[in-house]
Amino acid sequence: MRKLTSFLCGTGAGLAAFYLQRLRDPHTAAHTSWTSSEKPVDSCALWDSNWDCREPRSLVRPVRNSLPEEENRYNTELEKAKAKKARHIILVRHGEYLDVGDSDATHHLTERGRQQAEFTGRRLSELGIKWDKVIASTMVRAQETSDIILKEIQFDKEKVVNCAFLREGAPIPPQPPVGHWKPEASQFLRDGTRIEAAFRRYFHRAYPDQDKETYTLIVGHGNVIRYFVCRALQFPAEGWLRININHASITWLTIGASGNVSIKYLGDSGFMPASLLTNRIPRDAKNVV
Amino acid sequence: MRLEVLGRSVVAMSCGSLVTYLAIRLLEGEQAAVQDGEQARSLVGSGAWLHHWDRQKPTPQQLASPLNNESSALRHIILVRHGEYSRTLYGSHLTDLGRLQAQRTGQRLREMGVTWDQVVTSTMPRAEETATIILKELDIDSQKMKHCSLLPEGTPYPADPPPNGSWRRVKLSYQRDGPRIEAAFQRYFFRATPEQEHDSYLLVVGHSNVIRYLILRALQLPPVAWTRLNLNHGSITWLTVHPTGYVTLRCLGDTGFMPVTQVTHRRPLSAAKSDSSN
Repeated sequence: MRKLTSFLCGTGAGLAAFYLQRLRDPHTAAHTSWTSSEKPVDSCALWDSNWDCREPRSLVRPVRNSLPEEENRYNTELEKAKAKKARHIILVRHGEYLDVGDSDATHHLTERGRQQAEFTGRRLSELGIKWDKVIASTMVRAQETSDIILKEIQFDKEKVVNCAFLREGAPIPPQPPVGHWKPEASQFLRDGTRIEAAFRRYFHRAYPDQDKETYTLIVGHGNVIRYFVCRALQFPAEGWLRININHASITWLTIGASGNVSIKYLGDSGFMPASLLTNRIPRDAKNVV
Repeated sequence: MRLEVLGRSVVAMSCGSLVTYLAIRLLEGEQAAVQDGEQARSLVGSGAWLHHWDRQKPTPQQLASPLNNESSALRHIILVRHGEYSRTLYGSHLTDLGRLQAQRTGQRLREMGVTWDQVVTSTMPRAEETATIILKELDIDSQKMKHCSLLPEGTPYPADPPPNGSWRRVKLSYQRDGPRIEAAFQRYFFRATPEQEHDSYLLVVGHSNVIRYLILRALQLPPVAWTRLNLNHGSITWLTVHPTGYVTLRCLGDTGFMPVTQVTHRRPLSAAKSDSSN
């Protein structure tokens, strides 16, 4: 008798331990490999519809009670908070340049870089877009590129916004890391937050009062553009270095009225003769990607 | 007497504990195995790079062997979407504009001045027609191109944000197409084998959904995002697989070589009555 009770006691203790364990760790469901799983999507791959904090439902005071007036109020306000039109953001990388001297002031475009910018400007004007905003990074190579592009497209030069947030930098430590490009952690910290600030400044869905599609042209730099693309499409931003875009290439992102983002093309440089295509400084790489 | 009873109880108690302990151990082991797979998956989702995505981890013996078993050659994989097409009573075929687009894509590829090692096309008529026109521009015998039945259009993966259309139908077509398109990825994406001496160029003529999935898979970005990408007709997408296994994207949906008026990305409206899969 006593033997049996002791055995049961032991089993009980074991079971208790097991259930405790189970409470502590809820992930007991088995999944197949990530390519063929039934539930393949982990939370970080899912689309966050309130990525710019402008999801209408997040802007409107929620329904307090079930009175019809209250519901009416909610629905009208929700309708008012909804964006109606899309925003197109066209990102252009600067042309080929040479980094002579110590400071940015002497990093001018090469002859080939100028030609590239000219081709890009022509293509942009062929697209027949009425530009709403043109924004350029304050670095010399981007300024020179935007000057050349502005000669080709219809836009008042006075209205160009120069933005220091868009300057080149190290956005986030890349995955996979590459051997020849290893900035200090402090640099990532400093540039990363600034580039993220630039992203938040320019990437958001349209305001509710926007009544037509808008086109924003940003002349910037390789790292910044690649980071923007990853962030806008909600890819893990660490993957930015897996993308490589040519000089003076065009990248087209669209932010729909619903807040969904899609990319039309990335690094489009087909309008240049193949002999003009470059993607890095024309010398052995020093500390550049 | 008393001592004996006590001893027996102790034995019984430890027996019970042992049994439950073993059961827990077994379950724990299973959990750990699951977490391994889970970890690999969440790593991919969170942006870490999986190094041995195309081959087994090298064994210590392989690493220690004096022979350098890493090639230094790159594998370039150029993915081209078919030209504009329309569905008629006689099947789906390229439109006149689609043929023009294919011709321009061919000219651009020739301008790049590379020697093509292999040309593969999906077995659907619109892709085969596009590939034939491109090969004519490239001066390659169209007999040499390979027809791959893994590449036809389909639903490669559930999409997020979800596409329009019936949820049930999307799920059904994913059940059918998902593994096949994954098999296409396994067939064409891998780093250069140690035997390969020169950079190789592989041209794949295929379809929008498949290409978008291949891009995301190769870059180890969440494949669920494929609907966030768009590809124009006849567009060129260039992926490079480095000998270290790293993959980079050179351009996505490049159609700059076409005049703006010839750039399209969906079927002409008159024919687009049926579902919008392309």
